[in-house]
Amino acid sequence: MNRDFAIECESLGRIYRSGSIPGRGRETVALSDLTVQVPNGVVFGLLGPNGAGKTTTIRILSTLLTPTSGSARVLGYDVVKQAKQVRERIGFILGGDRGLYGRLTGKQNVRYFGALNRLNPKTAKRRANELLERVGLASAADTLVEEYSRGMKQRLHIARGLLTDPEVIFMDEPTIGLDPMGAQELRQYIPELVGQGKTILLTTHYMLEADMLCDEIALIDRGRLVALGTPDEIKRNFSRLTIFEIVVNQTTETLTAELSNIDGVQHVEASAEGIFQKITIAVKAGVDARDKIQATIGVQRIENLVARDPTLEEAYVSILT
Amino acid sequence: MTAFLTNFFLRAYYSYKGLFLWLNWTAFISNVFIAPVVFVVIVTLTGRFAGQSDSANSYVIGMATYAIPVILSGGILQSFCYERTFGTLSLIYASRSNRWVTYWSKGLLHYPNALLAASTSLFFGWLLLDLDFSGLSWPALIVLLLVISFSCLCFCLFMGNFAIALREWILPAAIANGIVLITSGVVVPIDQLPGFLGEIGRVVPLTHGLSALRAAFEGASLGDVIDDIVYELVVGLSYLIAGGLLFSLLEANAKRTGTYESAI
Ligand SMILES: Nc1ncnc2c1ncn2[C@@H]1O[C@H](COP(=O)(O)OP(=O)(O)OP(=O)(O)O)[C@@H](O)[C@H]1O
Ligand SMILES: [Mg+2]
Repeated sequence: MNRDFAIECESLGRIYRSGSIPGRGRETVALSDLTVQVPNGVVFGLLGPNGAGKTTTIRILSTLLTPTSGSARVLGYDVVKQAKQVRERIGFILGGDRGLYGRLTGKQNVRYFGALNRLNPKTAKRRANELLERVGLASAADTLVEEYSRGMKQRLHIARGLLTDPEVIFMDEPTIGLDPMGAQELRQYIPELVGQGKTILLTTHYMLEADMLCDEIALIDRGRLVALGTPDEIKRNFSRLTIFEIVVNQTTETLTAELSNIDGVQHVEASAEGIFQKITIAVKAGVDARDKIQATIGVQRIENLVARDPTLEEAYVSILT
Repeated sequence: MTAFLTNFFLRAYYSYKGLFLWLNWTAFISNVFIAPVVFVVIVTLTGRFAGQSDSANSYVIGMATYAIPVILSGGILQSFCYERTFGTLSLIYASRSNRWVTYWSKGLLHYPNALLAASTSLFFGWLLLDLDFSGLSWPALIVLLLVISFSCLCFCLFMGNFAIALREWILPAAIANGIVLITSGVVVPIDQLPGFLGEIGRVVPLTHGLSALRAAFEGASLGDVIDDIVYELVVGLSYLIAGGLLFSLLEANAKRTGTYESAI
């Protein structure tokens, strides 16, 4: 049993079949041949466009769905054959409007979950109170969940997912619907959890959040792995982009189009910056476009020019387009 | 052990409160008290009108006990169906809980409602329709109501699986109630049913308990009807076990097809 990794997926695949008439149903390949290994005690980001297979992966790892091919292990236990051992050690935050009892209060929802998972009732009660406080629901703890706002429901999902004090936590878009303060609090809480030795697998569509939190990132698209590495590696090695940020004092109507025509330029974006204009140009790595760019704009018009690595978002867009 | 029991009752209570949509005064009173009594009155008066006046006792007892599966199927099938509708089924499917315990905990708090509905119906049978309590063996009545409610509870838990699979509770509830109404001898005596219906009646809850209860109103003692009581218990236990197995099969199917997340 290999305990170096908290999570291991080996050629993991999932096909959904819909339609009840045999032979006439539709097949959706949600995940194919995904191989990743997540070390203990890290935040691992699973990123990718809508429908890429992120939730499917999380459902397989939390024993809610069986893979149609390949295998996965959590803390060394097979998610299919040793589902029971896996469940003893994981927590998940699937979020959304569903998955809660609207006719129970926030606190009752959490306590039900504790009883369902055989926590000691005293411990469950204490932890429920602590976590509700922590996610900012202390004053709404005794309000019926059907009266909660969307963000309050999301906070409740978070409190409930952490109740069992799991070693491995799956978080599917945990900050969705949270207000800026709530999102920030969670972003501060996550490193704290990792500090306690927990491993977190996280999906998000906020690239800044992923960049800030994740030690490692897997980028998947249409069920396939397209990039894997630390955020810096993703930015440098996978995107193969250099970004020029240029502040100009004067611009022409056709400048953006002219810049786009330069060899190796992938993307040009212009925005106002005070009295100046800021132009952001994404250039293929390895292509030396600096001189051509300067010539096209005109050196006398350039106030400032810097070359930098792409942000995670820029890298994401360039990898996926 | 106390932790286990506390958790069991917490789950029973929260799943009752969270999933039983009749849990408000209007719905509760009309379903547990008014509807069963109305049924008893209608059927008994119809029987009298049809010239079967000597069967009045038999109709009242039959319809009063029929309130038991009706209230149980309504409550329990709702709680299974809404578990899927609300998207909370995955909490169970990914939980550390023992599935048998989970499954049984869903029936616990509906049990008293069944006793309440049947007792109310019998009381109004006495008040409005001259149900004759003079020869009754009271211990037999009490034991039989407990046993019938148990076996009907097990049957409804079994049917709960269909409420999950169909994402709908009204149809399986109607089927469950229909089977019991037709084949267990509530209105038509089981020996006068066409052959196969009578055979079904043997493996349906209520049949044996009801025949024992009618005997008890005629003066039979607890000891006289013990065979029927045991039979009724065995029927209940069989559904309990079959239903628990089906519940596990559904879970396996849910994980294989991945479709149980959807409620519509
Ligand atoms: N129950 C299901 N039945 C059929 N197809 C499904 C089911 N669930 C997901 N899919 C399909 O599987 C693919 C992956 O879906 P998944 O929910 O894993 O995507 P995701 O990466 O989580 O997307 P998002 O960012 O929108 O949450 C999609 O094409 C989706 O349509
Ligand atoms: Mg998703």
